[in-house]
Amino acid sequence: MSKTIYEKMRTIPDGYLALLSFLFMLIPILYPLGLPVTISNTTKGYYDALMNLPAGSIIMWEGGGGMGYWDEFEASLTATFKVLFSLPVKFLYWGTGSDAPVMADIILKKIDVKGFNKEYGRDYLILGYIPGGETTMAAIAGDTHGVATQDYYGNDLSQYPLWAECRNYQDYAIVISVSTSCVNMDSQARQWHAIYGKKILEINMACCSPMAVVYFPDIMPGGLWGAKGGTELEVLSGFPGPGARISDASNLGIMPFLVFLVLTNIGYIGSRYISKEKEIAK
Amino acid sequence: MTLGELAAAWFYLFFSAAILSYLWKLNIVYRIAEAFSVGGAMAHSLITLYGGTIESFCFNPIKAGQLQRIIPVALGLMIFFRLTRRYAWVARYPTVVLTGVGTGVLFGATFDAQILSQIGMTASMFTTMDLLSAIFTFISVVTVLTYFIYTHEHKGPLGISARLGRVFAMFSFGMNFAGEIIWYMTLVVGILINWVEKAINPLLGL
Repeated sequence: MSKTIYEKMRTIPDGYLALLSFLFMLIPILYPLGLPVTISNTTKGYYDALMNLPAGSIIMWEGGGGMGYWDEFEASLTATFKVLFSLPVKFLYWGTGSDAPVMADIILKKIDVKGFNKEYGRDYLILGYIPGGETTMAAIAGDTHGVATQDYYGNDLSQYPLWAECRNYQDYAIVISVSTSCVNMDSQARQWHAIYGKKILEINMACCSPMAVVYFPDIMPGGLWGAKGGTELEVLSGFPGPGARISDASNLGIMPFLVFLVLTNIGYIGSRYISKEKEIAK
Repeated sequence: MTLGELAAAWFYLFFSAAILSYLWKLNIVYRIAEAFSVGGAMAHSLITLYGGTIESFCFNPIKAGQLQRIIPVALGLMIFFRLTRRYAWVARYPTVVLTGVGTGVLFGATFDAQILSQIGMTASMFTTMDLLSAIFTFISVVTVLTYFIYTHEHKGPLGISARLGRVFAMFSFGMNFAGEIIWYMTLVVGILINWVEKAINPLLGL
């Protein structure tokens, strides 16, 4: 028995969808499109929170994620580094994940740090991966010096002037947290906000935004989710980066999925309608 | 671009294409790439853990005279007793310490961070949001909560509220899933950008 048009619509092979999506994604990679970007409230909040920090503030930056998520985080991390370097603030970066310091190191090598007149040890410090998750977070908030003695590069931390300023939660103006966990904001809110009243800015994957926005704006003044968040920060801060092309390609790549979603649903509804009609005819 | 970098880029192209070949079907090339990926990740993790963590947070401070760090090192080593049948009980001690400390760290602030502050934010949203958003959020919070009332049959007003709550919960799950699709897209886009920029363009002299 031959398939009806509705059944054909319902059973379009996945391979065609993948191939079409690949082709659509290639367009902005080969020919940059520069699609317009809408700035979300959370990105604006993120940017404003950083811009409103008093001069000399120290930011506690908890790096997370992994190299497997590089494309999801590259734009957000690069733009954040550039924004922080452009401001009269300092930051202490440590890794909640083993790849976090590696990711920071790769980005720092791409950025012209000296062009921003920033110096390692005076304006920023990169600590290594410190295991322990939330327990370590609590320990760092309580006594930062008790947790680490060396930086990511194996140097003694006591030689750096910034390290002397990073003693405990009282020294940090705000927390930036990078994670691939959708419940990351829960632990951040527990350790930094509930106990010490600190605000948290989150960088996470696109899928984690519904779990984090419940903390917006009281506990989390802003956040960047996925490459899109990074692209928005690039636009807002005026520091172009890799995000625009990634976002354009993702936006175009999703188009075939949307078309197929509509077609398969029409197919499903149509098939049900026909089968009901057949039942009535019987 | 050096020859080594070009070779690395082509290795990347080969292995990422091999992983993507799973879209066609499970095949030997995919299996090889998968084994390389898992093995490489494990090697990287072990090296990072030893060099970046065990050495710098345990051995070096102990050598420098911070003898109190012997305690966590000893507790960590005790975990390995789990591998023996006779002395497996020894591993219970570090497990107990980990569980106890973890629970202590989490428990104290959970009520404040995840319940009290959430209630506070929901109550104050009429002053922090525009009216329409605040009403919409308020209705969604109340109806979703009623969906999780299991001690009363979902009939009458409670049934209507619970059904509405289910719709709102579906909106949230839908957004979550959409974000996940975008994440996968971004990964593929990253692969394509690397193919074009690092492997294909240098060969074409672009």
